[in-house]
Amino acid sequence: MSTVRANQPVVPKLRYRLEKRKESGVLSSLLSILVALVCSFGITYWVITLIGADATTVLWAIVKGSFGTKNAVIDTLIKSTPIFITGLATVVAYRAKVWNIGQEGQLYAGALGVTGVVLLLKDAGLPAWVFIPTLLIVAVLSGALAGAIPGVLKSRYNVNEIIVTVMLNYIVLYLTTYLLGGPWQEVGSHYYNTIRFPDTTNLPLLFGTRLHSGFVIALLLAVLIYYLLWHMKVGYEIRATGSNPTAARFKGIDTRRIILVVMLLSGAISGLAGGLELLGVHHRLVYGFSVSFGFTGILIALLGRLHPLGVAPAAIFFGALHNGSSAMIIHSNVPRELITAIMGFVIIMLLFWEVVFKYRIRRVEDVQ
Amino acid sequence: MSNEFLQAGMLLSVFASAVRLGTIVLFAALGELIVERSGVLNLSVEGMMLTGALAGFLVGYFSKSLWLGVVVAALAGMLISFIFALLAVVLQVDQTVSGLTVNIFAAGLTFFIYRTIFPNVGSEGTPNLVPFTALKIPFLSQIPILGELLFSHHAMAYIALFMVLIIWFYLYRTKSGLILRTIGENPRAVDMKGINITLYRVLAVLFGGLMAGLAGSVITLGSAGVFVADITAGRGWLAIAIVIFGDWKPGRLLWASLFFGFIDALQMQVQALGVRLPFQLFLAMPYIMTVIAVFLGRRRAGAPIALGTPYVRE
Repeated sequence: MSTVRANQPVVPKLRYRLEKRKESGVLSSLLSILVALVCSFGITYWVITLIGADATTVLWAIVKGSFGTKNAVIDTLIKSTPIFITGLATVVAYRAKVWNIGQEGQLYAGALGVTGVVLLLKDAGLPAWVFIPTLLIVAVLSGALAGAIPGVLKSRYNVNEIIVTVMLNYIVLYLTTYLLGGPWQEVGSHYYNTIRFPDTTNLPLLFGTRLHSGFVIALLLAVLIYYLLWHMKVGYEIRATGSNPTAARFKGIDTRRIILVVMLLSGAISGLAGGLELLGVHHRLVYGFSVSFGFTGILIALLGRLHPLGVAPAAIFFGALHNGSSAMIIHSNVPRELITAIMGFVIIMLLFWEVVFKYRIRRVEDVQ
Repeated sequence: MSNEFLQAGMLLSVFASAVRLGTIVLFAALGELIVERSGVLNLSVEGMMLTGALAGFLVGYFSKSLWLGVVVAALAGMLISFIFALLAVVLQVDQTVSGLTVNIFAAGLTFFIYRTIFPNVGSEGTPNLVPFTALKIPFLSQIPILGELLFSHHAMAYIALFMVLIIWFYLYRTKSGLILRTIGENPRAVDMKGINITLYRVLAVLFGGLMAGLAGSVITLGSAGVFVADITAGRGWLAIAIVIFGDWKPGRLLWASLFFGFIDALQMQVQALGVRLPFQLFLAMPYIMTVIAVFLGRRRAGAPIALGTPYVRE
């Protein structure tokens, strides 16, 4: 409480105060992304110079390598497809604050399911319009199965889903190397790979380019998930569980069911990413076909502000970095691993600036 | 007869390497224990360990001093944990999100630095160093069985075991330890006493980073002698699981770490025996056991109440 003294004139004294907003608006959101990108760009420039390369040349190589020609753009879109989808898988889970880190393993699970069915039916002579949808359903189901393990453990027994999904990543990877080193290995091959899948499993290509229809599926999926999260009851329940589980339970939402649903969905979507990548790009299961697609999906979801429509540009951006890194290592001695470090750094910057922009300086008139 | 001697000897060597392998994750788990006891969940243990493993290796490789490597590894782990502390404690960003991000960043950063310094790994062979040798404690190491089991390890293993005592003493026998534990349970009460919660939590996180860095250095300087991608192989996550399984108590953490060291040693030994099962099954064993451990630990009551929630003054 301020006291007013009688013998002094009342002079309003100006003060500045830091205030934290509860929610950040769209503008400050975009601003924080922009500033995070500028900061990351600056640091990247500095680091490249530090290792003795010409930063301008290297960065131009990345830009030209990812958007310079029509083929480069197509490659960027191909590279962004799997991480786009794992990003969507992450959005669904993290909106409910269910921390799925098992996208990598679930993606491999989808790929394993697809490969198993292809090897089983390769001589059945199925036409493409039967074979491909069947395989995509298998991918979804295998991914969901991998998501079911942490889902059931979390929803029924309240077992920490983070640990379980991380461990499942390793377990699925060892299962993959077992299959690729033994029963599924191409006869005579010295590498971990299967035979080439029959041509009837190839995803249709778009515009007469190498771009496979997986990219369109990813776009449709983004719209579908947007609709699910913001225009369907289950989506509302997912978001309510994420923002305040106790309040959600009071509203009659079965949060344990939501946790299970979300893990199944997230696993299914990641599995689809694995299936599409095999049928669209590799046409065989080969060890290491996923370049950390699962973990990159987490970063993309965060960069896209856990919004399906934000994930799209984020995925194309990271896909471009990934694609451009191939050009970068040709033109310089900068190792490819720089890109992974940058991706992580961008998100650290984003988290930092997001909070900073939540503060605003307000002028308060203090009457003394 | 001789066969039985052989088997006994083998069993002993499994137990001995269980202690050695267990101490790696023990460092990280003890660090994470302090962090979680202050109410902060740091999920970037794996990344901090990787950073420690690389920093320790690089310094050990170029300076030829393993101990200098250990010190720098601890500092490197702290540096990464500082980023986490800034985000999660000071700016109060969601702790899970901060941990995951810092973790991925640290992993990317270590590979980048390694490839920058050794661009021709592969064609020129993997750079390596001579790791710590066993420090046989005079007389005690001569005791049959116990000598090999307990008194014939490298110095870092003894330090890890000693840290259990130190941390137990700190948590339960010092005033500062009491304050730390209370911050994890009821931060408001501590705040009313005029104690700086943010400072306590930041220091706890930094200590966790230091210990994870040490854990990483034990991998490269204590046994491997090389650095390769994903050399920590999920041990950082295992440390977090061990804290849950060990019910947030230092003594139980010790036993849990030794148990997982044993699983690790056993799977190596069984592989070496050439059992007619796919070797991947043995490699996957520690991860399967971790899932079982967190499942068994699901009803643990020792979790700090304020774990994972930032403290906001009202």
